[in-house]
Amino acid sequence: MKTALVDSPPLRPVATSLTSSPLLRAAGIPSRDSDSAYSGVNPDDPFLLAKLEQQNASVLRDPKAALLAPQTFLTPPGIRRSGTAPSFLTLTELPRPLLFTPPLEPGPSPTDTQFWYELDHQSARFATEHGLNCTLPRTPVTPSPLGEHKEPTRRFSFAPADLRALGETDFWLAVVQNYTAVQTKVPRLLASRVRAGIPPRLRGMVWQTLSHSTSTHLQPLYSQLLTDRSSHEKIIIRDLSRTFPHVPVFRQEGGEGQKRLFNVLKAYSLYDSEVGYCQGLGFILGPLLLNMPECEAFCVLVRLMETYDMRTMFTENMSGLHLRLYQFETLFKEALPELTQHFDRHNVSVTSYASSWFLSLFAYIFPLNLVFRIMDLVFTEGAPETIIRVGLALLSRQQEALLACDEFEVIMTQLTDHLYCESKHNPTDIIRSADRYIDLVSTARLEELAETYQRKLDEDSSPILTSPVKNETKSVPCRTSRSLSVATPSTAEKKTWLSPWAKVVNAFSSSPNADALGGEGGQIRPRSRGSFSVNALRKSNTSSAGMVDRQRSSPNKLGDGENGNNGSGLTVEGMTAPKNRRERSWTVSVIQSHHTQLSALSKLDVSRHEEQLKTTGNNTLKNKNGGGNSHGEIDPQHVYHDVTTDAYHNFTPLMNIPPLELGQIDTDSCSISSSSHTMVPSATGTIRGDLDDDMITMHERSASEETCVAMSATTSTNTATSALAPVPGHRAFDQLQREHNYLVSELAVTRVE
Amino acid sequence: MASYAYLFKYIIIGDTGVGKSCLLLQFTDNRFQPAHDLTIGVEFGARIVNVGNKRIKLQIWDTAGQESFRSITRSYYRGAAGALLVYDITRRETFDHLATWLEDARKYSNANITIMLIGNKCDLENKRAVSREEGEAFARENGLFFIETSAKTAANVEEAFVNTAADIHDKIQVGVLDVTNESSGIKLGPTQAGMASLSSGSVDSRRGCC
Repeated sequence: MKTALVDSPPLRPVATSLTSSPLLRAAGIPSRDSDSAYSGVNPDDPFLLAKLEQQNASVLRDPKAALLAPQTFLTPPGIRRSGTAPSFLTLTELPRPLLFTPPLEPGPSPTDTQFWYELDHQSARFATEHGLNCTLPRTPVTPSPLGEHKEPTRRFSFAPADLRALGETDFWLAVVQNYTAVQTKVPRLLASRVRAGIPPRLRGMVWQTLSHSTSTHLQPLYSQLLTDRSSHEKIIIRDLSRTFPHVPVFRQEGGEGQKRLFNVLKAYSLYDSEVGYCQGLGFILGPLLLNMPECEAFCVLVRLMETYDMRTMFTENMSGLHLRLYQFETLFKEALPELTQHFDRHNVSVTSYASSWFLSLFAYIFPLNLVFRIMDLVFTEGAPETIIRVGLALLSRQQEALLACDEFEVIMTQLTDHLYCESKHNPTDIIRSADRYIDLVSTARLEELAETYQRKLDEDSSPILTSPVKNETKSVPCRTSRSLSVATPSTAEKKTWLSPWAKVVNAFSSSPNADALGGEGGQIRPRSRGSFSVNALRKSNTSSAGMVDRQRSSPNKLGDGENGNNGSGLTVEGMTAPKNRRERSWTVSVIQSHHTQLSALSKLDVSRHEEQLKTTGNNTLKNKNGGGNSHGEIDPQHVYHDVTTDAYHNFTPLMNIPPLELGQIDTDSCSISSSSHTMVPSATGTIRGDLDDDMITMHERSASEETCVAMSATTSTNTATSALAPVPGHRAFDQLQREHNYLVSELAVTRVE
Repeated sequence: MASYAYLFKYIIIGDTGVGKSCLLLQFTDNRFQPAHDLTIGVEFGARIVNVGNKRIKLQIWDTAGQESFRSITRSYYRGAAGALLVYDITRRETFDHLATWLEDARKYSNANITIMLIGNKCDLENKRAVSREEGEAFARENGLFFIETSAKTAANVEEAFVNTAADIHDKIQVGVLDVTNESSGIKLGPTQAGMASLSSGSVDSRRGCC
C-alpha cells in the first residue's frame, strides 16, 4: 500500500486504494496504471466520489451485487446486470471490508468462486431448463440477482393422479410451485420422495419451500443486518476456521465460504440477540449455505430456529438441549433396552455423545451427504423428531458392535468415529432405519415427555438446570422464561401448572423495586430479544415522520380497542423511547411464561373482554382470538394475549413498570402482522394459529400424523388443510415480535429508498 | 487395553479458543492440528502415563469453552479428580475470565480436586499479553499449580498432565482421596482391584512450573 501511494499522484488516494490493493499485487494482478481497462474506475472522473458512494450503497443493499460482473458494478441500482460469471478480478475488487473484516489474504481461489457462483444460480437455472420459469418469490426490496420474478410458464396440475404420474424432478418442481397442495393431496408420495432424497440441484429451493422461509419477509431485513456491527463478531471470526475445516469451500481463510458463514452468523446474532452467536450454529448453517444463496440461507436458518424448535437449545443455559437429551434418553431406553443397560454399566452418558447431534443436526461429526438427507427429513417432519429417530437408527445399526465393546474408551470411540462410515454405509439405509422409530418418536410422545420433564424439574429442581436461575438474576428474565416454556402444560394441568419461574416472579413482584432483579441504574436489563427492535427503532427514528403518518392513516392496521390507545401512538412512542420498549419486551416475556397462571387470574375478566370485543368491533382483536372463539364460550387460553394485558395491569403496581406498555406492544405487533396486506396467506395463517395454543397443536399433530400414517398404514387421513410449518403456540409472541421488528425495519428501508 | 493401577478423570476448562482441544490432541496423539473443529458439547480422550513406577490411565473430558455450554460442562466437574484450567497468554481476556471459571470449578467439583492452571500458546512470545509472573501469582493466590505450555510445539504439555496426576496420586497416598469413592474421579485399575490399601514406591513429584 505504501508503494502504491508513492507511485500515485497525491490527489487520487481513493482510487489508488481501491485499485492497487496488496491483494491484487499478491495475486499477480496488474495495477490500474498499467491496465486501465480492468478497474472500471477512472480517477479523473469528476463524479468519482459520488460513484463510489453509490457503489457502497448498492453493496449495502444487495451484498451479492458484488458477485456480479465488474463492469456493471458502478451502474445505478435497478439496471439489469449481466449474468456472466465473475472472474477472479471481480472478487478481489470488491469493497470487502464492508461486509467481512477478518484478514483476507490470500484471496479466494477461482474454483471456489466458481462454486459459489454456480450455487447462487443453479436452482433457478435448473427450474428454467425444466420449463418452470420461476425463482422463489422475493420481496421487492432486495432485487434477485437472478432477474425479476416471472410467472411460471408451466403450471402443474395438482390432482393426485397427475402428481403421482410426475417424474422425480417434476414432482419437486410441483412442490416448489405449491407445497400445500402436494402435501395434502399426496402425503404418502411426498414422504417416500423425501426419503429417496431431494435432487441436489433443487434441494435449496425445496428446503426454502418446505420451511416457508420465503414468507418470512426476512430478506430485506438481512441486507440491513449486514451493515450493522455485532458484539459477537470476534468470536464468530475465530470460529470460522474451525467450522467445517475439512470441507474445501469453507477451508479457505477469508474465502467466499467463510465470508458467507460470517455474514449470516453475524446477521443472526443481531436478529436474535438472546441467542446471539452460539457455537454449533455454524454447523447448521453450513449445509444450508452449500445449497442456497446467503440471504436465503439466513431465512431458512431463522425458520429452523424458530419454527422447528431449535432455538431453545442455543439460549443461555441450553434448556432446550437438556429437554431433548431427556426425551432421547427415555426413548432410547424403550427402543434399545439392552444397549442402554450396556451404556449404563460403563457410565456412557447421553450428553457425551448426543449433544452435538442435536446442536449441529449431525453435521459436526457426520459426512455432509448424510447430513443433507437428514435435513430433507427435518424440513418435512420436524427437527426433534428426526434427530431422535436418526440417532436411534444409528445406534441400533451398530448395536452389535457397541455391545461387543467392554471398555468405556472403546465405546466412546465407536460412538464418535464409527457410527457411520462413508465407505461402509449409505445414507438411504440410515434414513430407512430411522423410519422404524416413527411410531415411537411421535410429536405427541415428545410433547408428553416434555411435560414429564417439566414436572420433574418442578419437583426436584435439578441443580444443573436451576442454578442459573438462582444466581444469575441479571440475565434471567427472558432466557429463563423462554426456556421453561419449552414444555407447555397439558390441558389437564393447565389450571394448576406453575413453572419454577413463578416462584422467582412471585418473589420479584412483591419486591417494591425492580432493581431487585439486578438491573442497572433502575432499568431492568435483559440481554435480550428486545434489543434488536430497539436498534431498528432507533434507526427509524431518524427519518420516521412520513412513515408514521402513513401508518396512522391506515385505519385497519393499528387500532387497539383495549386501552383506547392506537398503535400508531405506540409506534411513535416506541421510536422515541427505546428504553421503554426494552422494558416492555422484558415484561412481556415474564408474563408470557406465566400465561397459565395469569389466565386463571383473568377468568374474572373474560366477560369484560367479550364486552369489549363486541363494543369496539375491532377486527384485529377478533383475529387475535382465533376468529369464532371470541364469541360464545371463551376459553381463557384463547384470549391469552388480551388476558395477559389485563393480568399485566393487575401486576403493574407491584412490578413498578409504566402501565399500558404490554397492551400496546402486543396489539401493535398482532395487528400489523395479521392484517398487513403484504403478508402472504400462509404467513397470516401461521400467525393466527400461533395465537391459539390448541389450534396450532392440532395443525402440528395432524400434519405429522399424516406423514406417519402415510408411511406406516394403508390409508391416509388427509385432515391437514394447511401447510403450516410446525409452530408451537408458546413461541407465538416471539414470532409476532419478530414480525414486528421486521415491519419496523422494512419501514426504515422503504424510507431510505 | 493395557493394565493400569489407577484411573483418573480430568476435565479441561477455559475460554473458547485457548487451545483446550489442541492440548488434548497433543497429549493423546502427539500431534498439532491447526485446523481443528471447534468443540461442541464435550470431547473425550484417554492415555496412560507413568507416575513414578505406576501406570495411571487418564480419562480426559475436553469441554466447549463458550458460556452457553456451561450447563453441560458443569455436569462433568463432579466426577473429576483433576481440572486443567487453560488460558491463552496472547489474549488478556481469557486470563481475566479465570476467576469465573474457578468459581464454577470450586462450586461443582469435589473439594479435593487438583487444579492446574495452564497458560497456553507460549510459543507466541511476541504476542504475549499475560506475563508468566501474573499467571504464577494467580495460581499462588488460589492454590493452583501453574505451567505454561504450547500445544503447537508440545512444550510442557506432557508435564501439565503428568504433574496433575502426580499430585492426585500424592493425595491418594496421604489418604486425602478415597479410591473407593467414584465421585472423587478416581478408580482402581484392573491390576489394583482389591488391593486398595497397598501403597507403593516413590512418585515423580515434579510440579509447579516448567
